[in-house]
Amino acid sequence: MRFILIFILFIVYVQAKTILVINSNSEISKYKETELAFRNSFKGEFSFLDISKMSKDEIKKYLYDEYPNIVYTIGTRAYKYVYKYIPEKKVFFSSIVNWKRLPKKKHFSGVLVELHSGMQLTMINSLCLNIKTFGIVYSHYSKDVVSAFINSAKNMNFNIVGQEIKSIKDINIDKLLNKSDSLILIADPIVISDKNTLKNIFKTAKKLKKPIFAYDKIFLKYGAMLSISVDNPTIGRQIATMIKSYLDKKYQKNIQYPVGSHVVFNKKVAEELKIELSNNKINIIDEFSE
Amino acid sequence: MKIIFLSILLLTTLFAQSVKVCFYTIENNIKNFKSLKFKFDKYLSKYGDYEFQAFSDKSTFEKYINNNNVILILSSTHYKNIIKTKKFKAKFIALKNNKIKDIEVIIGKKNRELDGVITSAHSEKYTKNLLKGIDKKLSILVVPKEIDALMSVGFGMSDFAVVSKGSFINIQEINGFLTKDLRIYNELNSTYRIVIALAIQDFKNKNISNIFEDMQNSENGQYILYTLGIDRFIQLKVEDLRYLGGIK
Repeated sequence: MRFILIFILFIVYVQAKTILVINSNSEISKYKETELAFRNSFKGEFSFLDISKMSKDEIKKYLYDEYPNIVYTIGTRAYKYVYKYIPEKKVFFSSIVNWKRLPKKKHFSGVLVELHSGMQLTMINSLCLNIKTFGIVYSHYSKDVVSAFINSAKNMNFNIVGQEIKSIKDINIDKLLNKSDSLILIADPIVISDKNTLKNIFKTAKKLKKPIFAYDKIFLKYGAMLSISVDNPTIGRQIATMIKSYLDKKYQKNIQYPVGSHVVFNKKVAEELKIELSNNKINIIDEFSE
Repeated sequence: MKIIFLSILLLTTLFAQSVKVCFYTIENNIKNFKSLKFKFDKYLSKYGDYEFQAFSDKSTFEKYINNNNVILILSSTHYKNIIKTKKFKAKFIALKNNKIKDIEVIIGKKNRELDGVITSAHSEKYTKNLLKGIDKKLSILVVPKEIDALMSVGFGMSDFAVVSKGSFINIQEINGFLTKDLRIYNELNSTYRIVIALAIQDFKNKNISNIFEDMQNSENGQYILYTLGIDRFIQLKVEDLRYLGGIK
């Protein structure tokens, strides 16, 4: 009888999933917000590791010693170590810019940091009247992002005017803005690589009275009218929900777009550019830029 | 004599306690209380010694309002509960799309079993209450705004969303393509929107009435209304106040 009991306990122990959460650096506010929201939302037990001050060998040893069933990585550094040392494990990731460029496994799951293009266009449409054509400058790094925008725009009867560049010298912002009502600034590594080029984009847009929609609120100080970015705490909650679904053996999409947005609006810029705003009945703005 | 009078006046001014406009509701998932307080205090300063105070904890809110000079902004359900023991009378109610009540609905793609992830812009606690008796298989995922909840279903990141019926109608106007495959699964209870309750002695205070009835006429007031997700505040009618328990 005792033997059976011990055997059952052993089976339960073996089947219980151990979960490890690794934060690349808990002092980075966006990582911290995500981690805190995950902690508040996830109902099960998990171990936690901040690798910001750990050496490569220390991380390796920890991962091999712990050897968890499920790992949740926050940020690129944590993801890369997990991929390198324990890629056979079930991995959930978040807070990685351009995740598509990193090595990956089919059984990896996670939440992207880029919002769905249709989500961004819907937000803009709910706020601004008479903006139907959107210019986008991009390099080969962002071809898929622009394709997604083109598809979403078609469904909403909008137009995307793309300008593909090889280097920042190829940007002709006057030409692009003369063919569009506005500009969507995407996180293309070439386009945003030079501060002066960015300043010139904003200066030209202001001169031509065309609004810029950016992906981060940092661009509001340059003159963007609206920033639509991902809401970090929601990512933490979304991962908690994904892990729960995985444990409950419920279907879910492996790679998901973020469900929460954070929208900051600069009303002063909208007034200067004389942008006609809709009397929107659904709240989209989280913050007004002062 | 004049000096004594002025001294008394000065002391009274110095030690006078400002009236606190106390805010607590789990219906709104407001993250930026700092910005709301800044705008509210700026708006209130036009009307005298008032100060906005937001609470994130129900029991702290209920303890605080016992012993202080306060005006309450709270959910109609919460008001209905506290009115049994506290001496406040609801005077104003939020209006949106010309309605003082709203119906929460569950939205999902056509022909789905009510299972999986449901997004909500309300707190988890409030959402659980809303979903009582519906289904236990749904996992709640809290998102910042109703538009996020709706789009997450439309773009396939979640299975269902619980939102106000008004928001669903609005997004149908904004993006018809997104919503063409969505339908209403359940209509939940219709509830009154948030209310403003005053201490009995303040009920006829004209200054307080002006604070809340004129909000839509100033920029700071508009910001507050927008953040609360409403169009304006109006006076409650007697029959509505009776329903909420404000008239015995």
